[in-house]
Amino acid sequence: MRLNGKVAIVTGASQGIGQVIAQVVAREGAVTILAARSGNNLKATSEMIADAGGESHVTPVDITDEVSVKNLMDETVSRFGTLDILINNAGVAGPMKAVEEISAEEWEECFAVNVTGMFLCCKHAIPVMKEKRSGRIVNISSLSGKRPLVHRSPYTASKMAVIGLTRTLAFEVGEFGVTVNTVCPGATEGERIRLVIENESKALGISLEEAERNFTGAAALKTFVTPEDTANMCVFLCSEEGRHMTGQDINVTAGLCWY
Amino acid sequence: MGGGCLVAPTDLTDKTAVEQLVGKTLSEYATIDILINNSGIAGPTKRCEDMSREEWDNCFSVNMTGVFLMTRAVLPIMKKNRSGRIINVSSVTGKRPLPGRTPHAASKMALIGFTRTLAFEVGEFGITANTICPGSTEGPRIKRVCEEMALAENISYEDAAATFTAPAALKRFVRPEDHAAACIFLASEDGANITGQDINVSGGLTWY
Repeated sequence: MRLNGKVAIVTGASQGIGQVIAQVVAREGAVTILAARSGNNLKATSEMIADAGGESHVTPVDITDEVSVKNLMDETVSRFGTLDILINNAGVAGPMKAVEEISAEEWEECFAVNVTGMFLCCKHAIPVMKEKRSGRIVNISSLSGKRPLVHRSPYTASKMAVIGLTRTLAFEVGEFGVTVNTVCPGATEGERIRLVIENESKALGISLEEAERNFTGAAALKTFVTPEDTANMCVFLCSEEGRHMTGQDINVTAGLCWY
Repeated sequence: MGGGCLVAPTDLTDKTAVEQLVGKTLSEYATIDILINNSGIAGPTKRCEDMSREEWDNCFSVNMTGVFLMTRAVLPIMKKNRSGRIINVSSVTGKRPLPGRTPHAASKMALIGFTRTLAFEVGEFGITANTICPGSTEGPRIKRVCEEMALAENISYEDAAATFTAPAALKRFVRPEDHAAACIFLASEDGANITGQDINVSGGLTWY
């Protein structure tokens, strides 16, 4: 187990990639604090982890609320003694509209979760990590933004903002032995991509297979990635093996993106 | 350590020698799953205008042509297996300028271009191709460089070492084991869906 005895927070752990990251981090031996807005779905994640013999703790949090974030960090430290790993996975898709049709509120709502929420989690985790002179932060971005994604400007802009935050933060905390990296997942297998493919198949009058190829055809490996692929990279970066990688944005995209 | 290995002295710039290496490996182990192209030379330390054509060619023949020949020789096996992992060891040099080392910098960036295109040529056969870019790495080589620098510039060894570590986010050298760990990750099942990438293992010296 590569994260044995570590204390890890995973935000957005109630569904999708975050749920799998939490499971894999717990499987590798970390006490995993499951953070998300919805407490009910977190319980499901927690049960999956317990069934696999792992240890987790559910903490509902609104990452856009600084008081709530500070409580998450304080509760983690007072209950488990420390914080070794922060995986900032929580994010929202944001509106699907042309730029000129997006309201300022819609724009800000997307940034509030994807960027400000991440900033707040980093801000309140760093003092603990600096004091112990070690820590790992992994921020989940996306290949969107690196590649254009029409009608998703707030999402793509916010996901590129994550990379800028990561690079600068890596240099602020490096001398304290804290690493900060971004993981950029590509088109990921799961319910969400199935819906998108079905919608695209209907909208364009093409078969499901053709719609699927629109996503996989551009990748070198001609395949979707799995949530496990992203989780495995998070574990590597948080393990002893990844100790000398920092400030990076790592694409887990089956080769869809190489920059 | 209990591992198996085969010792095979090879000149990577020699097509016949490369084919013999692959043949020998196949007769011993029946297949090739992983190719780690780590061989490389520093090349001359001179200004561009002082570099001879031969010096330039020599650096590229090992750092780039050798990788091409090795890759070409193993691809038929990996394609037949419909799986394989190729890892090319590049450098942060080229991503960052290194005055006096144009052939090294250019050959190491050439590897990245090679890897990106290769990834798309072999992806449909389940083969991944990635580059890792080591930063300043602990060991006798960097020690010698720092000693020479300290002497030449009349500064302490620590000050000389700091010129390499200070620009890195983690303020230290990386270890050879860090590169090995990244290679293992990419070659393992955990890295199955990562291809065409150049991964910096540099303590944060480069981020692009």
